[in-house]
Amino acid sequence: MIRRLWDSRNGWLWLSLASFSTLVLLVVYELRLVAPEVDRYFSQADNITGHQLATRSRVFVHDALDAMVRDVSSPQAAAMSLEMAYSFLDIVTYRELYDCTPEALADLDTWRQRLLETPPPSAEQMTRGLLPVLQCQTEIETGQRIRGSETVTQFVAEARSHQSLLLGGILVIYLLGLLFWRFHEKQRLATQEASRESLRWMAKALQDPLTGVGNRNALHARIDEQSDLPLGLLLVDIDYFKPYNDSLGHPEGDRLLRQLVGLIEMAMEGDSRLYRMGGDEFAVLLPCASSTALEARCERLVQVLRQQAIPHPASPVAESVTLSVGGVWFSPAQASFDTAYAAADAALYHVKQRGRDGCKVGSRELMPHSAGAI
Amino acid sequence: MLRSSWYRRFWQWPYFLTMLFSTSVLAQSWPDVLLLSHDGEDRALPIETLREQADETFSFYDPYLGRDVDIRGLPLGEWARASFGDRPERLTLEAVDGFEVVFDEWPGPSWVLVTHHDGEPIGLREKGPLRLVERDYGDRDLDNLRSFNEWIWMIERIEAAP
Repeated sequence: MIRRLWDSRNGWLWLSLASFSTLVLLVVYELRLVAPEVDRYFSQADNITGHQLATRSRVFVHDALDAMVRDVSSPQAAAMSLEMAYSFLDIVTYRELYDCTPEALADLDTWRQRLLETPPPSAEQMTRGLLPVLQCQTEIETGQRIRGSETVTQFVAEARSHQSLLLGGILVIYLLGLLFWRFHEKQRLATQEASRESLRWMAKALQDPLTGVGNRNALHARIDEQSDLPLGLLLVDIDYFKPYNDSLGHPEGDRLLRQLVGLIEMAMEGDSRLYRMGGDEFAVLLPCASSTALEARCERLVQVLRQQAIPHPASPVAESVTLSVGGVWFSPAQASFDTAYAAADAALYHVKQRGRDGCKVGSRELMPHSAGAI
Repeated sequence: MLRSSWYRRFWQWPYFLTMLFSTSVLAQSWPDVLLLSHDGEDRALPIETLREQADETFSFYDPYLGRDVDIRGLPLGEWARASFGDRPERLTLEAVDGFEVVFDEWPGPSWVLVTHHDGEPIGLREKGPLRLVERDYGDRDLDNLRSFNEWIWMIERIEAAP
């Protein structure tokens, strides 16, 4: 699949899009996953979840003392509080890090048992007896706070390092994305230029270099593109062009060809297209409603050239250049171009046989219900 | 401030009566009941019943105890569905010191209400008589107890809402 994407000349585009997508994913990852993790770590400072277990233990020691001070008849409630205090202080981390912990736990156990005895200890005795426990809890709280600060410092340092890495990564990915995009643009422009060049060559391949009009290939291409609407095809031949060349030289002959192109285009007007079939032979293809209309266009073409009176010193039929024109009105749906061409050529031959300088539109058989006449 | 929660709750009549008729308010095994709250109604469930129902067993490392423990308990999600009927949208677990853990999403099978350690019912010293643990630590740091803030000890009340 990757190979296919690359072969589709969009490889750089996909790489660029992948880079920018990675960028977005990185940002989302930071916002959705890392940020909540940080929040989870720091957001509990103001609630009970954020309290140290030693602090929660201390609260129950205070509760026990309160119970004894305020109500001497509730030693059992005080014993319960000391049991709770014991539970919150009996943490393996405290035992491992703070030497006072085992002793404090033993004190809590001792005083809890004494509270269940008769008579229970006085509030003053308990206060004095539990003082080491409170001191131990303070030591733990302070120590844990320092450890917490160290952890926070380490966390901040890691966060900064993480941020730097992230920023660097984002920058690299962004630059890669831009670079891939630039490559894609270069590739796109190169492809575009190649396409233009191909089109230029294709246009040249369909153009007659001397006169600038389309050549035989262009005529065939045009026929292929045509719909089924009726068309007129005129084959135009310059009478006695070889003697013209022989007497005035090929440069003059070329000039005459170019001049004739202008004249034919002027005479035909409209949607007609002119093609040079080779030598002194031209073809005109035009949309045409009837054979009669085509015949009128054909007559006009011959007439326009006569009016121009271009001198022809070697013509045996006239003093000026004349044309022989054969035409056919046909529908591409009913007759192939070759058939139409043959019919137009036959009409042209007929004109030449009659002495040239004229036109003829023929072959009504090429249309199913021919509206025109020869 | 922290004690106010259980002191206040103690004098609420259902709780008071439950306590009165349970073993003893002042005995060391207190609390012997778990208060269940649903649709504004409270009912007491003896801890002993929970201990008898507990059939989930596994071993894991307890970061607070610093050793491997054989656990017996109840999967929180399944138990809550059975106890509260329809699956509630939110579960709130409350400890005797006011510590609360709220599940806005239904707890997965990893969350277990623990009743026994190493085959013995847990008391206050073992963070009982009911505690909540998560058997799957994921990639959390065992040395960082903050990673286990959602664990809750000495659970006295579970509220299902709505």
